[in-house]
Amino acid sequence: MASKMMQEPTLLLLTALADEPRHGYALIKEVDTISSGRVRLRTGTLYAALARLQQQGWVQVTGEEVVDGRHRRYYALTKDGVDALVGETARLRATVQEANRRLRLRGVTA
Amino acid sequence: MTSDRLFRLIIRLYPAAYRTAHEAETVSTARESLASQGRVGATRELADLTVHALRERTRLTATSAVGAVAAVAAPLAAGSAVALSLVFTAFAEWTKRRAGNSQPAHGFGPFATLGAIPYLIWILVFLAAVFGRGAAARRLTGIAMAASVALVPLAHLTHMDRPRLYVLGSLVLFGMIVLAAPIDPLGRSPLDRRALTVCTLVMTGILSGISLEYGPLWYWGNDTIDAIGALMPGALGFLLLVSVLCMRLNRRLPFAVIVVMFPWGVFCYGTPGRPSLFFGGVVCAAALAGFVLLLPKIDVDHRRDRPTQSGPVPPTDAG
Repeated sequence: MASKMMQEPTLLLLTALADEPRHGYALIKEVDTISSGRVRLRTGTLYAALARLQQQGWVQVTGEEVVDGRHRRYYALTKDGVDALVGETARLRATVQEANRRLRLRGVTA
Repeated sequence: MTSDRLFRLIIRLYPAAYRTAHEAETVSTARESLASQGRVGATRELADLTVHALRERTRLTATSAVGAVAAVAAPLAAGSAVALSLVFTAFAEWTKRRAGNSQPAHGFGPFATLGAIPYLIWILVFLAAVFGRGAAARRLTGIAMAASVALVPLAHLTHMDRPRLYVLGSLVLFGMIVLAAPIDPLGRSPLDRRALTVCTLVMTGILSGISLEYGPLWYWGNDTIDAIGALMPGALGFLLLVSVLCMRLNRRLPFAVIVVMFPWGVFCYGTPGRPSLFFGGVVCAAALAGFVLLLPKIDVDHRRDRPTQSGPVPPTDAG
């Protein structure tokens, strides 16, 4: 898992799924919120990424329903997906800690 | 055309199998997303949906075998196009103009023909990719393709010279391969800087060596391209052998080599009546035979989205 390169939108997508299953539009909104409006996923890009993550075995469909005439399909992280997110988070945390340590040596606090 | 009719037209672009499995979900998400955006955002949303639909229809996705081959072929194709652009700019466009013996003589500024325009854009593609601007590199690739096509009417209107069609055609085909490569959210960019740099350097070195041995490349009455054409079957055989031996590292590499050989075939054998036309037939036959023989070796895992459980789940606060 760790050998896979994770681009920022992918990390944001996995992060958006970390706490509970979400449907397509909810994922778009969550990614927008988590990235403070920096990353706006488009519908086509979202479903292309979800298909790839499903193929990788990191995301699965957990259910479907129709709400106010709108079809919802819910996606959730698999165990492999959780492991991948944990690994990526640990890698980023280590980078941040090292950056902070080096900045402190310069008398700067991030 | 109203935006609703346009939206339905875009949805019709998806293949029937995809629509059966995903239409309701995709339409719901896209409609909600469109409703929350302004005019510019909605245009981008529809453009993105169109690209996704066309990729699903052509199977050029990150989850398909065809898309995976295109992704491996992209740096080879881009490297080839950049190398041709560098060599033609240096040996043809610039040198011939400086020597004053360009034939015919209606040049473009300091260059021998209008060909300098797509060549310089391909060099910008290389620079953008090397500096990590993958999205810009893809946009510039599209611009380079458009420029290659536009040169034909532009040369007619301005009475300036342009490269011959076998050069422009091969550049367009290289660009099509680059743009066909899908962006894998879990992989490198199709225009990965290391792969592109290696491909460009190797190709430029080979083409420069041939130019120094047989004389500078030129569009008319030039033996150098015939020499490249004569070397092509051997080069294809060697590359295929190496790529088959390297299939453990990347099992799509032989397919990528074959895909990139088609534009090279257009470049080498694109002018009817060339003595090397025979080799063109050999290259095409070898490429097709190799493709058929290697087809069973390539596979992509297709674990797509059948729900593991049906029925509603608790809606989220975002929905």
